[in-house]
Amino acid sequence: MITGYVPQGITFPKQIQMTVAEYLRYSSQVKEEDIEGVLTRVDFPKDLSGRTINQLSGGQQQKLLLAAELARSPEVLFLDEPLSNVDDSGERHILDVILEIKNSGVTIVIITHDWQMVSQYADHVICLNKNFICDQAASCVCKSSLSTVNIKQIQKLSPDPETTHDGYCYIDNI
Amino acid sequence: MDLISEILVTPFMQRALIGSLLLAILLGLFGVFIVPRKLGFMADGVSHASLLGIAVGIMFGGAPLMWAALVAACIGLVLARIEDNERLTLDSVVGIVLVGGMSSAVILMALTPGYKPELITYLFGSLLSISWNDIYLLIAFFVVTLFLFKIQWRTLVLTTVHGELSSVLGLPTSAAKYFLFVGTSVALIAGVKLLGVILISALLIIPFSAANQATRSLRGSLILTECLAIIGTITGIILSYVYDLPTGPAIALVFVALFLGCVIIGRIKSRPVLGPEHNH
Repeated sequence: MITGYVPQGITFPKQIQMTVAEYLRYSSQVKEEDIEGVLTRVDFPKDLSGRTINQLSGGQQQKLLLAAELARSPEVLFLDEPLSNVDDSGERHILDVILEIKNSGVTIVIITHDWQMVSQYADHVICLNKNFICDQAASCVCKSSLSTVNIKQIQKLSPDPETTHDGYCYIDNI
Repeated sequence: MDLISEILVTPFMQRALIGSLLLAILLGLFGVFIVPRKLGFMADGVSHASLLGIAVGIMFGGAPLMWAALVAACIGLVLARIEDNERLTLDSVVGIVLVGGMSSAVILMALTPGYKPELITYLFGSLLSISWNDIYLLIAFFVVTLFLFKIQWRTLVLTTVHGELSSVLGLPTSAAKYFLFVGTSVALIAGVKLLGVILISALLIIPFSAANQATRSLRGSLILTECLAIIGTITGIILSYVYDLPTGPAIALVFVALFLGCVIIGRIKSRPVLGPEHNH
């Protein structure tokens, strides 16, 4: 299975000069003629493809990393805190791009602390606490049921009174 | 014209020019990866510490540079191993290796009776000391290293730009790292007769640092790095021949001048230009 991975908040070394096109060629072996198509897929501004990767903003870097991963046609794409390097206006945009990727048939696994995003976009949620998957109710929550839950309640994870497992948590009212 | 033909028919200059061309290409290439990874100080550490190998060679016999290459390769291995160590920083270990290697070399020399004129050769380089055997060895090393560069190229580029990604892609990151560390160390020793242990790091660090001031792509900085490395060494050698200057320092100073030139050109090129695309 081909998987893709975009890490959290990558910073490219400042001392290396590499263009956007070169990055795509090296990371995903994208051919020269395919570069434009790959960038269009994540809505990356076309006129920036000659820029060096250090000159891009956080959101643009995130899109470039996404584009590079998509170019390898992954079945599952892992995104670690995809909005951590992006300003408010960029957030919405990246989310749209991610949704579009999802709609094209790629399974997306997002690791995040952003409950707002989870409640709005996720089909399935797995809560982790100290290496444990949270109790049954939370381990595979459908979007519909999660969206009815008060987010504040989810954040206040209290230890499950029924079990002695230290890492177990328990979510009220799902 | 006379000067050029005179240089081209002088055997020791022929050897010097061939050797420096190969070294410039090799060390320039290693520099493209060493400098962005902030490993420049490693070059000084390895070359200075390898003086221990040279002292062993002078004292006990055997080719001093072979001993030095052995010492350098071992240091390269150790440094590659500890690069991600949690308790040690790489530059402090380089500092320790440098001090340890040089001190033991000097003490070994002090224990060896008699005058050691060849020591200066190894410290600052000497064109006259380069033999045809050195050149043949260098050609072999050049071919092998270039081949290894070819197979490791993508991994070297990606581990430099985005280390995590290269692991995810399943690229041989560890092999590339050991190649980079050990290859650089041995290549530095290969250049000791040209620039000496004190100055050889110039050929590794300066061409890429200079090229990086004036380019905006990896391909561009690669080509410019190689051009500057070749121009710098050849110019230095010719200047040292014509004006009878010590070769190592002559080459090193040419590089410093090239670097300053590139910094100035880079500053002029990147000066903000007022226009519609820069208004935001």
